[in-house]
Amino acid sequence: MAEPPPIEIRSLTKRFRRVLAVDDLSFAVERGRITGFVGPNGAGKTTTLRALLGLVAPTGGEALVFGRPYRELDDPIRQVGTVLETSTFHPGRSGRNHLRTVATAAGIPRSRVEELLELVDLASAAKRRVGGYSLGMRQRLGLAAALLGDPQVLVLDEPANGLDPEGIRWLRNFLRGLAEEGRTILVSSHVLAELAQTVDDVAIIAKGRLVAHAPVGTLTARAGGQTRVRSPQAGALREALAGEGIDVSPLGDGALGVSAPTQRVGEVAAAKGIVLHELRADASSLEEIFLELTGGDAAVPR
Amino acid sequence: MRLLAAEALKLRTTWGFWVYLVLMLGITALAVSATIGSGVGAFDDESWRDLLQTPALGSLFPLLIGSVTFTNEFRHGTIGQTLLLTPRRGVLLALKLVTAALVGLLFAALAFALTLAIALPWLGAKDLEVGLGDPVVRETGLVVALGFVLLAMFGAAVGGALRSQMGAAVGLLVWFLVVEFLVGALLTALDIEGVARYLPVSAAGAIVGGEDDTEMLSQGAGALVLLAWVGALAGVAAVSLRRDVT
Repeated sequence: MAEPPPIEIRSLTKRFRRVLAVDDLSFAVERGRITGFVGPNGAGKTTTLRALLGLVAPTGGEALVFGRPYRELDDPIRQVGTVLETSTFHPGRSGRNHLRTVATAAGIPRSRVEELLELVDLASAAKRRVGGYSLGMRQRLGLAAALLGDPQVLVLDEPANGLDPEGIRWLRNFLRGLAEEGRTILVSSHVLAELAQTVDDVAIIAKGRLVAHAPVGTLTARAGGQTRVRSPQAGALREALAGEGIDVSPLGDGALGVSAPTQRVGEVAAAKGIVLHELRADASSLEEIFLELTGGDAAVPR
Repeated sequence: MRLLAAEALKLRTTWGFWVYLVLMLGITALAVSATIGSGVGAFDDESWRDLLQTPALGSLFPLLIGSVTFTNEFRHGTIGQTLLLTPRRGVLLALKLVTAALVGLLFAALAFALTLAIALPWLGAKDLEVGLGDPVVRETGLVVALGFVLLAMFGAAVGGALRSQMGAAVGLLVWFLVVEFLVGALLTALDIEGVARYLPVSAAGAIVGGEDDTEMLSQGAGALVLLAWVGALAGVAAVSLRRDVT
């Protein structure tokens, strides 16, 4: 029998009194990939993640971690690391002591707490009360708590919320690093563009239903696949792309706009030995797909 | 075991725990000093017993700290993290009840030790024959410990049932200071005598004793009745805790 996927949502339905928050939602997250879980505010992301973590009881269906409900996992935080959207810190406790309470409960040595404080750049603030932390520091403390048990799966609910651009960049690199270690990550956001450069796959929900689940590249391709590329050999690159029947137009700032997904552009350039200085999906086009898929009911990206 | 260690660490690293502890010890010290200092007239076995039971004056503290072990988590949202570590609600409830019991025991031990630390040398200086070996010391120590443990568990059960910190604290205080007496008076007025003594405050009072008082339950019965209240409220808490944490 095949190993169960790290995260699997099966026909999950959740009704809060009159509100149908999640409506027959199904998708699975593949091992070793970063999946963005994207939807407008109120689409049911947090409810889905909380059902996955056993905090919310589903009205129907199930949400499984390695094929089992979270509540039945042995030593859950060694298997799944979690950052919840709402604060889970006591404001009067220091950052270090917060991590120690989690570590103690899970039988994790204190040295690991110090390691993580270093990793998320909080060592110098470790003695301070969490109440005095900035939003960015709290998100980093949350990440540290999630990583204490060295879990293979991470579930992060809006970890970029309230972060400044520098914080978002830090988070992006941090998540990339974790994924390179082979971890499976499910990360939610209400801004697709925020995740587009970080994730491998995107699951988009709107009004509690799944509207798309695909690799990021496929999604860009679906909308004409606008890619932004910059090369010192721009002429050669245009020629190579044109040779493949791909439309290219200059974007004015020296970059080229290419109507193909990033993978395709990268492959064509590599085949011809062309140096690229920039290669990324055009965020504005991603946002258009997002709006189209979610019925235009999307939050404005920051 | 490690879950209990984590609970202990959680309490130690919050401000409230120390405030309750210091206030309780302060009140105990004041009351013991006042009793001995104003001690005129005969000092007999009865007053020695009463003096040793002074910590019972601080009974509200184990009650409140018990409720806080639970309600603190809801107040600050740490319940999310706690449930990620202890996802089964029943296990969490049991954990909190045991934690509260241990905190009650700790509070009792410290308050009782403080009482002895003040009383023994002071009374000794007055040439009164009192000693640690007295059987009444062991008896009253057990009574205080039992009362505090049950009250702390009672507080935790109420905290788990209500989940709101303010609600639980106010509810407990109002019930213990006002409502139960009113209910008792009402029951008596309605000629339903004998029921009021099964209410929690009366049961807790019975543990400390008043053997001559026929209105009250015996010490053992008082403890059992209070334990039954803890059980019933824990049942309510078990249902309340099944709710979604959003």
